Amino acid sequence: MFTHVMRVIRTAFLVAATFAAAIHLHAAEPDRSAFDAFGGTDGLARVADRGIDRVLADPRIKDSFAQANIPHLKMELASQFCALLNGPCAYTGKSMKEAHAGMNVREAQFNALAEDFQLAMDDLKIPFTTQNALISKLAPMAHAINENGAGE
Amino acid sequence: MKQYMLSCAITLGAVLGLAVPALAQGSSSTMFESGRLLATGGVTNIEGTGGGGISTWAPITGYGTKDAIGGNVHGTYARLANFSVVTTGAGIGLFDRVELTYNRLMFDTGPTGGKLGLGRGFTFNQDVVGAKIRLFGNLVYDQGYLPEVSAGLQYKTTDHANILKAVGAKNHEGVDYYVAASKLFLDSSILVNATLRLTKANQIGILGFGGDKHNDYQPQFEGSLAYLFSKDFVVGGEYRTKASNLGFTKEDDWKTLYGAYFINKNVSLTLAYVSLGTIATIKNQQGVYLSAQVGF
Repeated sequence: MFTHVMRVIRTAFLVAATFAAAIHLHAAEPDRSAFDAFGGTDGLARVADRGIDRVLADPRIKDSFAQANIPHLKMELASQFCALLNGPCAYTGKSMKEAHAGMNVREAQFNALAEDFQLAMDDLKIPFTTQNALISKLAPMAHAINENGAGE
Repeated sequence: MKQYMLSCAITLGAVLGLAVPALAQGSSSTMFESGRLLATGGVTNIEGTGGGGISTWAPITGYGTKDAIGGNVHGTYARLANFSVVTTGAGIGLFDRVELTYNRLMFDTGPTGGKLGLGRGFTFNQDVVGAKIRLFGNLVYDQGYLPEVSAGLQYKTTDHANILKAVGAKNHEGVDYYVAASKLFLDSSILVNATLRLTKANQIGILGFGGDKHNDYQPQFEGSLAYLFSKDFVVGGEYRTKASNLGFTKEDDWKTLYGAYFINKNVSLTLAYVSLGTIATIKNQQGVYLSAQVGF
């Protein structure tokens, strides 16, 4: 019985230690290093520009943007990226929920856009780790954007 | 046996209950689209379950989103110092909620079979039927502290029941139960998995279930840490704890170091160094592991 209890404790400890280590890695101070790595507001504007161009060429999702004001969309995105990466910008557009209301965005479409932006950042020679700093901020928006939430 | 069949029947019923209404609603053009991001389906582990090489991960296998079905087949070959292992199987992921898998594992004792008194080339065959259900969380969309968490079971049956009994195993079949948590820290490109498994298995069941030393369910740990070098290339390590239920041989924890290359959403290749310790009294079973997966 004692060894059994010890095994339970050991296993629980290993599980806890794995997550504690992971959370420690995760708990970085908010800073502007990612904003700088992208090349500031100009760099993020290039990401928004190139990303939307790729979206507009993507047969999976381009129809969703048929009615969009593209220059305005690019500008709003660039300022949103800037704000998300602690840059000197305030995002003034609609909330993600408002902006996508009635669009019935499916998870696969959300991901298609994410893939287009990854490719756009590849085009701009942005390192994968830098890309992930932005993707990590955008990914949770799936909860507000997708028609039935995401991963609940 | 009855309880295994009952649990399988309940699982199947639950799957059909989820799948049929969703199938009726979904349009055919998107039903099989690979809508999840590259690599987020993981690969297939040695038991046929979505995961790494020897560890079980929370994500549902394949690339199906919550609106779609994903599936894959795999083949795996591991060459150890004295043994070799081949596994083949298939898995299906339903609406990013349920994973159903079948896996056949062939453990070839090779020339060592003669030394063990089994006969040269003696092979143990194991069938594994697995079911996993995602409970909550999403690997990609939850970037706070919430991990993706799934629970599952694996019904395993190994042939040569008489030989397994002769070496002290209490049964040639058994059910493992697990809870798996996976967390992707995108901002540091790190994937962490931790799994708690309740099992009686000896060498994951290749040497049967329960033994002359212990015959109760014991909790075991599976952990994996991976670094994402790019969208399509992941490098990591795994650790899996094991019980020692059999008197005739000790059993060691398993370890791997692996690289997985996701060529696209249809094909992935995994190459690993595996260190499985002592198996059936034969020490230092290290070797190379190669796995290919094809699916959508």
